[in-house]
Amino acid sequence: MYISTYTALQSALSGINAATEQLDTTGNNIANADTPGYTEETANTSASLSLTLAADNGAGVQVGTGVTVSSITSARSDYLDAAYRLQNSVSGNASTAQSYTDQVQSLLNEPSTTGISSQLANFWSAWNSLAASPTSSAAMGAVVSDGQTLAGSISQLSGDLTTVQTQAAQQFNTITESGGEVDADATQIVSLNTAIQQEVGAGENPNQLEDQRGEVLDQLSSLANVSVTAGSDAGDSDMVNVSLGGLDPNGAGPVPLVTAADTGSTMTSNSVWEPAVAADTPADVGGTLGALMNVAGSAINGGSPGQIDGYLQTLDGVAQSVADEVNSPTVNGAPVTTDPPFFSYTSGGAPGSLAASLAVNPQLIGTPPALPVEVTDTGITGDNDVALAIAGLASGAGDQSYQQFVSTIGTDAQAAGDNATTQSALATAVSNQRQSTEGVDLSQEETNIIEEQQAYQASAQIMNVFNTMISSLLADVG
Amino acid sequence: MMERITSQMQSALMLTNINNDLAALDQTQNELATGMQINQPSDNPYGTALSMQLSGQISTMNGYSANVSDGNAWAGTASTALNSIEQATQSARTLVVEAGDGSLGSSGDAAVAAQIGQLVTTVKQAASAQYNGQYIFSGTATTVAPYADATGDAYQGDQGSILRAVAPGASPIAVNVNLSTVLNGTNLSGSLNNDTAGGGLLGTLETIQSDVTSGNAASISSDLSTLDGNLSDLEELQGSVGGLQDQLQMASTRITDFQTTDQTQLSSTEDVNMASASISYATQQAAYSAALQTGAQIVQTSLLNFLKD
Repeated sequence: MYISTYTALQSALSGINAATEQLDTTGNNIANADTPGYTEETANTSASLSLTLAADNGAGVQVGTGVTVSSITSARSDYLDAAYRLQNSVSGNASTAQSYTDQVQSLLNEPSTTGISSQLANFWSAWNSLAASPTSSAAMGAVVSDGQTLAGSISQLSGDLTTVQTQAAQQFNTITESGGEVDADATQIVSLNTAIQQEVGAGENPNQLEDQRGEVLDQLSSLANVSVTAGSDAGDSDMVNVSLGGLDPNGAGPVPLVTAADTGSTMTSNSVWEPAVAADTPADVGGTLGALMNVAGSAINGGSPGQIDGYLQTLDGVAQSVADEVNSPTVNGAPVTTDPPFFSYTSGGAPGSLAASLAVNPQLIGTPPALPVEVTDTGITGDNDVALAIAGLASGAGDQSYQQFVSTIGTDAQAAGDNATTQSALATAVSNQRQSTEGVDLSQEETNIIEEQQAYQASAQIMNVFNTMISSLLADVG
Repeated sequence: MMERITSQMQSALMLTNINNDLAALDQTQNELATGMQINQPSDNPYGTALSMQLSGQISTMNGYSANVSDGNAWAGTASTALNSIEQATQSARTLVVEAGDGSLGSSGDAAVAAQIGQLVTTVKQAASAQYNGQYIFSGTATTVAPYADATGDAYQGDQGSILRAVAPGASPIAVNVNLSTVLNGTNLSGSLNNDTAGGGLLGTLETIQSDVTSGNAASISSDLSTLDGNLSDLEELQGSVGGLQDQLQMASTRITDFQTTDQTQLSSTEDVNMASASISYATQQAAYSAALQTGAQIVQTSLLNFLKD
């Protein structure tokens, strides 16, 4: 049985090479420990094919020939990626909802000494003062100007709510329009798809490109529910299909964003994702976009009434309730229709338009104000029946409907805040779980360094031993 | 328990915890700085509604309180005016008693008659008492004096009530009294007499004046008993003003009770409990410093610190 003198030397060399490659990988892992989307890589080694030698007894003997790095794999887990993206979408949805609901509640400026509730109180107490001096033009002026302040604030609140609604619709359009975030992400995914397929075709491990694609998908998942599937054909099996929304199996279904067949330069019409808003519910769309659809409601083209539409409708109810009770107070047990009515408003428009139109009847504004206070029935100057009846409306239906309005928004904001906190904690938990599998653990890498360094040194030692052995052999023989 | 802890996990966790601590600190600091535990509706939606409701009630109570003061001013003015009317009537009565026995002679009677005439004017002047520019004895016709020179004894006002709301849910109370029925008297159908023959105080005084002038001693003694009747009507009216003042006093006490209750409830709803908030603040600050300190130390160290070459 003969064996080449240098086989062992070659084995030692393969050991040094493998250790070097492993150290390279470890170094790369450490360098990318903080790179978003990077997944830990492992240089997998396997024993090289052994030499079979014929033994003296006729049986074969296998002699090892060292080690080779068979592949470099990344610790990507499709399952954890999907779990993270789902939670990221829910969390993005919750935080957008919270930010808009907070904005709405800060418009209310309640509780405070300047909000609408104290303006209502001021308005009623102006009527009370007028009831005490029904002939005083100063008291009449106070009633009119407090009424104007109140009507102005309600109308202003309606305008402010509409502005927030429009902002949400604008943000939605900015994200989904051509050249927007969704479009940019789709473009990137298509070009990464193409590059990955090419590298795989060339027999490479496109781990870094896959990491980049994963990172883009992560970003996309905060905007909407993302479903990712691998391409089904041989030519695109390493590409991914991406679609948005459509979580609900009974809903409109996901809207395709990128198909694996796309090859870069020509984007399909799906690249600008215009969701079928009429068919897809906000909950179905999910993510920031779902939250925006919910907030903006009818302000988005084709959208169905949303959160702010509801608030505006309630505010209309508040405005109408206050105006109606002042316009027809109950005097001595019978409703009196003041002529001209104190408040004017236009009903029947879009949500919020009634509140926006609330004003003190222009016929009443003047010096002195032409109030219908002096009871339309008797015309006696000192009679304060109507003023007394209107002052008695304090803490009545109008006040209560406003309090309920504020309380509803407060409850919504509280729920949105709690939900955002919970979902963000869950997102952190899922992210940690993914990081634990896919991320770079420095302690482990540093332990790997020691192992790999020792493997390198040991292989070098073998070379050294071999060198000494062969040198002494040559010296003795020579 | 995670199997592998990566540096990204460590820093993410550290940041989350530090942010949570800071958010809690921020919230408590805001509560302490504003003195309110409700700074926006979401802090306590029900409490917000309650706080707005209580503030509204307090404002209404302040209105009632102003109404009570206003009512007191009306009653006080009425009381003063009625007192001077009573005094004038009493003086007239003394004069009539002196004139009734015929001892003064005709020149003396003329002087008494003149004085009684003067007292009629005094009564009408007192009836024209005003509060805050409003005639208090003219019913709701507060811009019209109850008696004018041109119209003699005819009452110019109406029988309306000046109403003030002084308690939640209760009907408003009248803060004026009807003097015209005493001064003018009413006929059988209940409407006011507007001439000297009426049987009211003014009519009686004027009858006495003419009886004294004519020296009609027999009439004067019957006039005297009519005058006593008028006087007792006047005293009854004074009594009802006193009753009104009592009623206002009770209303005022009740309003104060309501105000105290509402204020206490408002304070317990929206005001911060300084002691517990300060303790929370100290605890949160300790947690925050600890998070910063340990976070900085954990992230600094790794196995690398202990590897020697």
